[in-house]
Amino acid sequence: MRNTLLFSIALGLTFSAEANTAKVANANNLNAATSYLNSRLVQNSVQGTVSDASGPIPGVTVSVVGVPGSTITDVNGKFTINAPLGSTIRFSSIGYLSQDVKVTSNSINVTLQEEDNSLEEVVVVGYGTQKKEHLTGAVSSINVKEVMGSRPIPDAGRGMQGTIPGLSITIPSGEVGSDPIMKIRGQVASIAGSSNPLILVDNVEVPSINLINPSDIESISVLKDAASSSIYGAKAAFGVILITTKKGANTDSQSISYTNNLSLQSPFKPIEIAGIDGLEYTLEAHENQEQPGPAGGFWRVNRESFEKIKEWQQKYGGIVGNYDPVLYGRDWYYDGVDKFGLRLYDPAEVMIKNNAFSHLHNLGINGKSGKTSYNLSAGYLGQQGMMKPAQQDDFTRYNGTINLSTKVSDALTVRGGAMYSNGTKRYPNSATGFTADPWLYLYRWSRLFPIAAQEHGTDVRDPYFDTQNAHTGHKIDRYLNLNLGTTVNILDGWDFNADYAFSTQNNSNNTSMPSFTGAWHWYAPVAWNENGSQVYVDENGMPTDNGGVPAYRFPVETYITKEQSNIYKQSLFSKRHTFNAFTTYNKTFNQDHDVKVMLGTNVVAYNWDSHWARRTNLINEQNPQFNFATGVETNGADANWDSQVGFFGRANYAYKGKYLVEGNLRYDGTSKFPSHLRYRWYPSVSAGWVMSNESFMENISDVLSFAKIRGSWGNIGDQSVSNSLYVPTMDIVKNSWLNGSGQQFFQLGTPGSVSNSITWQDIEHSNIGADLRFFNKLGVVFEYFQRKTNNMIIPGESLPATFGANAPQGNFGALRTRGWEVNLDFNHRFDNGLRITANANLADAISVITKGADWNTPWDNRLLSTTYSTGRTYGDIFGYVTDRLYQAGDFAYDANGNHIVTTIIHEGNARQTNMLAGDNPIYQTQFQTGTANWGYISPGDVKFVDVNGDGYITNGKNTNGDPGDRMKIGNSTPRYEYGFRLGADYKGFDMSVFMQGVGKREIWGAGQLAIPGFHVKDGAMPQAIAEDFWKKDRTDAFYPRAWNLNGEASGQTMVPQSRYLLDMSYFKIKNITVGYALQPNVLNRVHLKNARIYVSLENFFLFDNLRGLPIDPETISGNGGNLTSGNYNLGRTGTGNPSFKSASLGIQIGL
Amino acid sequence: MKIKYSIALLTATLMFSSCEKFLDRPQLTSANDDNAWTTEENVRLYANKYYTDFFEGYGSGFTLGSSYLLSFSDDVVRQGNQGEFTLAVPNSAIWSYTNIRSINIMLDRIENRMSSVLSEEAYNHWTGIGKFFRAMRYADLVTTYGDVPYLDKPISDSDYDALFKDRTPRNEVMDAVYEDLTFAFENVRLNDGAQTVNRYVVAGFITRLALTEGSWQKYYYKDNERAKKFFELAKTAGDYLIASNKYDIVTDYRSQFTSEDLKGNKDMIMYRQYDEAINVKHAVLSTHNLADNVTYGASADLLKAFILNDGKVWQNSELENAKNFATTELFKTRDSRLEASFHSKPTPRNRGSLLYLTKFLPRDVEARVAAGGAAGTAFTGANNTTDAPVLRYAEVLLNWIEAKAELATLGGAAVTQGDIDQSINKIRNRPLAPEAIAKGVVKTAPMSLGTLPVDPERDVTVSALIWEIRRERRMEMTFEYSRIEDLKRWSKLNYMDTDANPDLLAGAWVDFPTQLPDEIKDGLSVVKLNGQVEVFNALTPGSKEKMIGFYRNTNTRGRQTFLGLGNVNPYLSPVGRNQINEYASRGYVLSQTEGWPQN
Repeated sequence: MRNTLLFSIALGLTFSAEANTAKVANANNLNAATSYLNSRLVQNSVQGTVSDASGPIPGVTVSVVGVPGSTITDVNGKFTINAPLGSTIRFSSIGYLSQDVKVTSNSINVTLQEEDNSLEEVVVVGYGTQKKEHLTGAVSSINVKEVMGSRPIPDAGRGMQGTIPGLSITIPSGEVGSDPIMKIRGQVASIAGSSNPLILVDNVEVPSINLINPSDIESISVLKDAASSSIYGAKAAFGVILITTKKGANTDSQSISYTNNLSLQSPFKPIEIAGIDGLEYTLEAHENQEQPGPAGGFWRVNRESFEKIKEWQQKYGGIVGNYDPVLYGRDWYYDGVDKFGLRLYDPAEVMIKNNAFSHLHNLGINGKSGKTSYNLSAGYLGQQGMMKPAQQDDFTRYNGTINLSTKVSDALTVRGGAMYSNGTKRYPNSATGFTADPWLYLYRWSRLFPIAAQEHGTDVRDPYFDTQNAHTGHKIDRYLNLNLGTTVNILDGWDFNADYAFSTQNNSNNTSMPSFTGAWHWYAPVAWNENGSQVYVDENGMPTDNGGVPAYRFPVETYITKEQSNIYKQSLFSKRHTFNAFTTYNKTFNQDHDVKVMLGTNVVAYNWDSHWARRTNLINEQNPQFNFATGVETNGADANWDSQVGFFGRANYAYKGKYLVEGNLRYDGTSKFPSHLRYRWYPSVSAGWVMSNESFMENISDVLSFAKIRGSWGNIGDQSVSNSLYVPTMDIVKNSWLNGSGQQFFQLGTPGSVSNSITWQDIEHSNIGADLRFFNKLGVVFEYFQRKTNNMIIPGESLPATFGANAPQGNFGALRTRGWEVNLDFNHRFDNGLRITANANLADAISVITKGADWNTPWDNRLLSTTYSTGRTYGDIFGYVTDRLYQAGDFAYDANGNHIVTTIIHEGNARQTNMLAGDNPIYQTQFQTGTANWGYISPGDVKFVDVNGDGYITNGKNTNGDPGDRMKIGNSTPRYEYGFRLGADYKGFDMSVFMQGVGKREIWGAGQLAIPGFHVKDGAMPQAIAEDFWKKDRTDAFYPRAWNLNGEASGQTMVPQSRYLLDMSYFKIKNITVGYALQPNVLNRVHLKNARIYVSLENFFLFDNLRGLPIDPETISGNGGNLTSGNYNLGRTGTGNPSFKSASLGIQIGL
Repeated sequence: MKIKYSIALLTATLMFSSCEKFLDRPQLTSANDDNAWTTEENVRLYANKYYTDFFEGYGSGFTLGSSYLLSFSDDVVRQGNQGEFTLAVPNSAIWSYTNIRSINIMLDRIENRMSSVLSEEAYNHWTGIGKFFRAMRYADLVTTYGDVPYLDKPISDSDYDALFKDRTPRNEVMDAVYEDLTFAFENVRLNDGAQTVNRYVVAGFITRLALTEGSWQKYYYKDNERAKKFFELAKTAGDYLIASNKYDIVTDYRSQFTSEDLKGNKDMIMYRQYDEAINVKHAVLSTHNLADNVTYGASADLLKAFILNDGKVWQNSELENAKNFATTELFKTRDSRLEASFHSKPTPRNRGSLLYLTKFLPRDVEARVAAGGAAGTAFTGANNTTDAPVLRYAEVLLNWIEAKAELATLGGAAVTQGDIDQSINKIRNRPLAPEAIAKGVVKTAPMSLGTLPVDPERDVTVSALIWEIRRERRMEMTFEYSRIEDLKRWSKLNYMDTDANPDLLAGAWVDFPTQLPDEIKDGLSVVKLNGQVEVFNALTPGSKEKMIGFYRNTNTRGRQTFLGLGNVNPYLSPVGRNQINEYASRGYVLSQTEGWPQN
């Protein structure tokens, strides 16, 4: 209601404005001005065509110098203007050097030169545009067509990766339809808040970059500092990605375009899970730890079966196929206690698709007819996922947009638009019931675990059949945005804009789970009986009447029973009302003083509600519907809302185009905080000095064509936190205590420990930058910035356990990010028509927690284990310094060649260990597992460096002051992110190469793909580890002797340390595109405006330092795309959807 | 123009004035501390969350909890290394007060905000419920750490003196626990609906908690006065339950642990329900279903402790096969609970002792697996739905008789034959399962005060009667939560010393040549009844035939020395160095647990 009211007031304002301003001439009203001229001057109609190197150019402004008014070339580059002979006609268009031509005849054909000075560009900034030359804040924009025009990318986020310095984009998984992670200037700005940039499409917030069809995008600006983004207020604290969509044409015209892209995807890193070598690791670990019984978990291995496995390989390797049935006697045997596998299955081969097909199509109509301009487009994206056995694993998105704008009168423009997006992800709804999907199990179990092979004609329970027999889940995200707006020209240079947008999300997730029955190999097998008598099999697994061994089989179990089968639906409906109104006044006084003033308001109201329902016991599994389920019904619902109000003003002043000043002030209110702390003022200022416009610079203007230095400072409030931080909430949930009749108890939670004085986090940005241009061809942009998060919401000082809760949060903390960005661009066209372009950028940012929960603790006593410790650089990894692996010669032996055992007493703890040889050896008994002698440090364990020189390797007090022998060994923040693009075109041929990478990033991994010995009983490990661990006959190995860490990422001597830290830096040749555009003469014959065909290779070449581990260096442990949040696949590194490369072909046609 | 300005002004005024309301958007779907304490229903909901914490039963999912399958006691032998006591102060370890805070908030809000909302009866009931749970938590903390900081009010995060207060003496804490328990005992409702705490449940747990504290006081702290106070409380609560006639011993032993539905079962003072349809399941059988491997089993020490069904110990029973420990004979001569707890044939699937624990496995499943069939999904993984006893009447009877016997040593009335008949003999007279009867199992003869067994193994510091009461408890509650706690409260951790008691490292009696010939391989040894160890040696003729005796793997290693060490107290847990340092850095003192180094 509130917004409706506001909107009608805005309209009222509009109509009154029209009454007052209808007669005022408007500089933009070209048609009117031209007709005014026509009646007064001598008629001499000049006609012609304006073109550039690649053909006619529409939209070029054609004017007669000294005469008011102008015309514009049509879609064929043709123009007609009245100009007397001898007068001068000026042709100008953005992106081209203006050209003056003297009228000597009735026909003039002009070829315009492209302008290299990109500073002339107009950049979209908050609520307006600004000439790049006059920017004083840190704003970057990209050439959307060049960067994304011909790439097989599903969303603009993936397209922007590596193109803007300071915009860090990470694609942590190959999951189709998932959002990339985007951060502007540093990875963290707030612990409780989001740290995510605000994504605005035509000034309206969108929840996901995936909703927008990249082909609808006209321009993208990234606002990085407070001076440029503060105008967006409450949600813009961590930068803004400002997207504007394509609008109707400026001139009477109509064009239709069609583009497509067809691509084939395949994994870009081979997934090599160890076979024989991995089993050897398992055996060695078992023996090193002197464990009784056979090694392995559900499937065992011992030295005897290991030999048989090798025999199996010789006998059946290459003969028994992946999908051939499991046979007792040939592929496995049972000794009454344990199962031993003999056959090696190939999970990667049966689970991962080698060629997944994707295609995208876009159709657009753009034009102007009379006073109305329009843009309509429709897009389709169909992308297949990588899971081979899935019935459906794909992502489909439909997009439709309409933008209309009409001039009601000279003073009044009304516009409206709609954007719809429907993204559907289909996926196999895993039967595991774990918080993990089938990918985890592909990477988890040793290759003795049957997969994709039936036994006795029955599916075996494994990730393959679980996936194949699963019902398909549908996750559908629908987004609709309707907007209406108006611009009123009140006076010359004064206009008023009001826009209202209603956007709604309607997301649903529908799944069902059928009953599952399968041969169950996880636990004990049973005797294979036929007609009540025991079957005997020979060594080939064939039943035999003559000798043989009694055969076993996997019991066939219904592991998801009919009672557990179910149908589930979940939906979320959200509404967002956005109202923006602002008025801008522009005036130039005395030619030298440019003044621009803006005042405005921004009101956002958001609410959502969701519900879900489940009913068990499907009576028709083929058609899972609620009406075909008869079991237990469960359901739930939730709702939330928030709102923000902001009032803002901006003033720009420029003197002679040399001295630029801008100031912003904003008053923000939010519903997230207690009522007395809701409002705050946030100012920002910026200034620039265009040195090249100074007279003393003129003599070097041939070299330094443009130079500007600028600086900015500003404060923005952040409120991207939950609205319950200050409220001791008590949630009502079900628990697992039953009332005796099978009904769960509900419980009311304990109120949280909260502080009632939580308020805005203040994000303070400072920026200095320089824009330089040399020889009009080479542009350099440099930025240095600092961003401080003041009053950061963090938990208070840690309290003793007796408090019984976490310390309440408050605005106690502070964090600071500093960094720099460099961008270079080069553009040159040779006389023969060859044009080359180059673009390079590099950025770095480091965040330091300047005040954490332990601020009151002296630095020396702050714990290393505190993530946000005061004074700590965000992402720092502490660990030991690896020296090398211990070898046999490092130890002392008795006469029998056995280790001599000695007792080491350090800080009162006595521990026995193997005696080291030499004088004053350095002991590291702290790393020993347990107290038995098998845990003693032995040859093949890691030898550490005694960093603090105390003669022992320890973790000290685990504090800054006494870190023992640990030191900072790495940082998980991506550093030195860079992108590099080279392009060339010549007579219709074009080619570009885009490279991107991260210079430095380390992580201590988690899970079996990253940590040697992580879970030896589960059994899977990368071949790269299994073939390079220390054994008595492989003492030069990279990895230490085999050890079972039993599911821990740290243990024995495999603790965080320099050598086994994963180096996640990488360099990717992200894209190579080669295209050919038909030349104008051909186009004319086939009646096309343009036509281009291209081949594009995406993600084809990757260079990393991971020593062959099957891990994508962009991986973030625990991040699993869009189906799970938080701890995806148990937080293990790389155990998700394989990342892929694509080879694609596309065409682009314009009619 | 004027109109325009006035409209603009009006707009601005309107917006400012209504903004406050526009920004007023509290949580829509959660209650909070300021508005939740308005109905009795809400207090009930608040208390509901303690059930799964305090009455774990078989736990849920793969989390078993601490009530069952405790594998660290003298009942247990493990494959390879034995479980160890804590021998060094850890870097980081501390108690959890999460429930204490939660309960203190409940009691505070009832007292300060609900006196007009609740009737006096309801007020007292819910205060009693809060105090009951608080007492349970403090009793648990005290058993683990000895002295602990006592807090009976919610404390503010800025009240450092309260937050960083040092330990309160155990006796002070336990006096408060005593007060809480007696208040609950007097005020909690007799019936508050199915599966909820009522006065009988309170009384049942009092027998457990008070007996525990009484024993600690008598044997560890040697304070007979305090011991008496708590033994009296245990006895009173036991008297109350017995007199109520609501409970009885009517279910055969194993069925108490394997039933799909314990509703209405008179042996249960409280149980935990599981149900497949709503996916509340447990995993007590994931490795105890006879099909899967398990690495620990019954020690020879436990097997020797079982009484024979003539009521005598194996050394001097007159039964024909009294000294025969071969499982087939053993089950016929021993107390019926042995047969009900273990599989009758030795199997290598139990890698610790070869005697497979089937106490929690329904008999039909046991028979199916033994015949080569599969256990079935419902008896593997975390798919089990058998209901779990939370507090059995049998335990209450044993708590009560033990408290009585201890009181008798402290000047109380002597235990009478009637007391024994009412407790131990009542339990011994419980029905036998038909499957057990078919195997020849019979009920154990009643215990008679006049003819208590003469046990040559009896600990001379323990009277014959108390020795037998403790034996009865061990047989009744094997592989449940209590054995290690019992040893601690009796100050008998020396029973866990594997050097002094090699029976802790041996398992079932097996006739290997006949029963498990495949297991005769390197690493096998057996222990004869006289304690002589026979190691298998393939090179020695006749060695194979000698492999008859208690199973002992040569890889089974003894426990590290834990008694008589300076600065190590196996009875009470130390807190971490980090926590002590944290107190010190704020200018407060946190004392280390008694018996551990104070620095």
